[in-house]
Amino acid sequence: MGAFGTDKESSINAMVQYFGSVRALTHLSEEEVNIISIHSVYELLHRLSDKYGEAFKNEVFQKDGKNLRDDITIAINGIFTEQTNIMKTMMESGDIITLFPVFPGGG
Amino acid sequence: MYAYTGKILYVDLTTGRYKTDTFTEEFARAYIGGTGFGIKTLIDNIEPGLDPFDPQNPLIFAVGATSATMVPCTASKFGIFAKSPATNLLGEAYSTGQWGAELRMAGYDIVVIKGRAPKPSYLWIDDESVQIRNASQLWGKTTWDTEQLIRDELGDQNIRVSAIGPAGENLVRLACLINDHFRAAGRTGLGAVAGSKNLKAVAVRGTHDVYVAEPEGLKEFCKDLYERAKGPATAKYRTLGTPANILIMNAQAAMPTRNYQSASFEGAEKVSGENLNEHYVTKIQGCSACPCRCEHIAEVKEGPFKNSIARMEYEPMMAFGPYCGVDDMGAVIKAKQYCDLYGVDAIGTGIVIGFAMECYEKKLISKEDTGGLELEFGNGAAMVDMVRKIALREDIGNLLAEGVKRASQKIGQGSEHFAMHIKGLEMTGYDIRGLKTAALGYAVSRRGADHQRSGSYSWDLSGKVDRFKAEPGRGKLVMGDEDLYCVIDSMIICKFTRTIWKVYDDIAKVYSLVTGIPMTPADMEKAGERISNLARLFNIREGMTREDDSIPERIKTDPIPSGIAKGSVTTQQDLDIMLDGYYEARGWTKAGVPTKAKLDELGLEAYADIIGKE
Repeated sequence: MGAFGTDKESSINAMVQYFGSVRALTHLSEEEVNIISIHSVYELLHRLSDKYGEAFKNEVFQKDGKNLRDDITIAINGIFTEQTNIMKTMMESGDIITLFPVFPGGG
Repeated sequence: MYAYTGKILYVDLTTGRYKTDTFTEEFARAYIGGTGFGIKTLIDNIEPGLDPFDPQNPLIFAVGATSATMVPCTASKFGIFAKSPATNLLGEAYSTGQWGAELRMAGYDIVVIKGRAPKPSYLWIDDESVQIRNASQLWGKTTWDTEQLIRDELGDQNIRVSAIGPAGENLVRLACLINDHFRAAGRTGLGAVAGSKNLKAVAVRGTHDVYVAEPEGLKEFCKDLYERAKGPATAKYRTLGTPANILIMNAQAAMPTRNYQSASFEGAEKVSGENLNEHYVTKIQGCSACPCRCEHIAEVKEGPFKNSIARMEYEPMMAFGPYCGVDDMGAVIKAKQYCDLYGVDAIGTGIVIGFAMECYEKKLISKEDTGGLELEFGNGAAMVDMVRKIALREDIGNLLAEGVKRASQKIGQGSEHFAMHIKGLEMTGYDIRGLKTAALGYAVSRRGADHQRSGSYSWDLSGKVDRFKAEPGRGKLVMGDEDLYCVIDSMIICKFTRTIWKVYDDIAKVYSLVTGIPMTPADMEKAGERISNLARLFNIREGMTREDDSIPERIKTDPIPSGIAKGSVTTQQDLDIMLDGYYEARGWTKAGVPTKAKLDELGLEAYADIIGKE
């Protein structure tokens, strides 16, 4: 069951939430994304990179364009997901995917 | 030696005399600079059990190994050290801006100030000239006015000044030293130590060149570092800055709110980094030799707090925003400015005021106590006024000026339960009920509640570990972080840039290129461990035990009420599991005492009397 509590059969969207520097690039705090042809979170991030361009891609991925940056955290339905798991984590309709940049705390 | 001046300046304010001494390459190699120099100098120059306000408590300034060189993001930082009047343990605080580089150029790496001047004074270091000058005309002035008045008196607008405000003069245990307007050596009450010595400021001007061992090799490496420092790893500091953490921490239910009664704040958007940047930030400036430029200067253009100006980071925004239930950005900026002007630690002052607000809410203190202020959560104007009252010790500000631990002991009536401190130092902006690795890092931090001695919240917030689970293995993670941060704070590298350094390889390489002293990555890592253990020895000698590696009572018993982390607490059992793992990783006893073997391994055998018989 997705986080929205909707019927998996009829809804094909996920919610993507943005914070910090990622939000500054998308100019959105969140958006609904049609995931009918997107299966994994990893694939989702690449699709978002295509949509928002090179700056977004550089914010999320390392220079190789394949591995995630160390200072980006992905949460799926509120649960942090270790980066190596992102590659194989599949999404379901209604999932909430959150992109957090990690900061050293400013004192 | 290169870069290092090799000189220590000793000043006796009682007699008005001073002398210089030198340190060896062996000392430099073992303790690096900054933190290492400060802790080593402190432990060797203070009698155990001394009252922090005793004239013999040394106030020590120390610069980093690469101070005043071309190495980006390291050139300007310095540390201040003494026995803390807040914790009665190790006191240390770090600042940046321009002051540190100036001291190195004046010809000193370490300044040790003891005694008490017979009247308000300031120390003036002008290359080889050292004077103790009359500060009677400066007493009572804000830190900003003090800096300008000293520059005018001495006829040089390039003088750098580290000064206390009225809070330090009033021995407020939250008092700090401010330099370059917006930079604070904030925590552990070192401003009060200066005040107890009748020391208003340390002014410095240096004109000497600083030579490095291998300028061509260093130049090439610095070009690479410079590009990394301007690159994507630090971009977030140049754009939103750390205030971006407000919404991030809020979403993660990890942001202390209303004195830890909650971990998320309904008004977060109004006091967010996004709102700050859009409506208040007027410029973003940088420190000496730093390509990053992270300092977000915010100004209030209208409303009751019009014309307030302050540098804003996550911690003071949290402390005066969600922590006090305030969603008025103008009040948050004004409160921060008062901290800079009066010279109090912004984090600690916000936490103490949040505590007082809960006391007021529970009717443990009254409007009579507050001098007529309705000190309720959310009352920004009252919060701002209370910052001033604390600095000037007015009304209940006099009690709150003692810090949240002492204030709660005096108020009693169960208030100790929600006095949020560790070892007597107020908590900072991470709700450790839902961040288990951070909880351990806070508990064992040598200066009290602190996220800066290990940064171990990163493990929890990055998803690399389960943030809700306590495991023995967290000890090794925290140890690794602490030792690395000892090296970082000894070089002194700005933590905002720590991800651009390949640890420990780049740090050792830069050290050798700058100083000419051979240093391998393993040597550097060992130095970090040495400094961590030396700090532990200092605290043990001052009476610290395992029981002091603790967390606040509310963290153990009051679950986070809502959000992703709903229901989370960190129990004493959780802490004990992680403490045991930490002590084991460190090679200490179950009581948290370094063993003789560990001291021998680290070259600290001279301090064996502190640990006694194992």
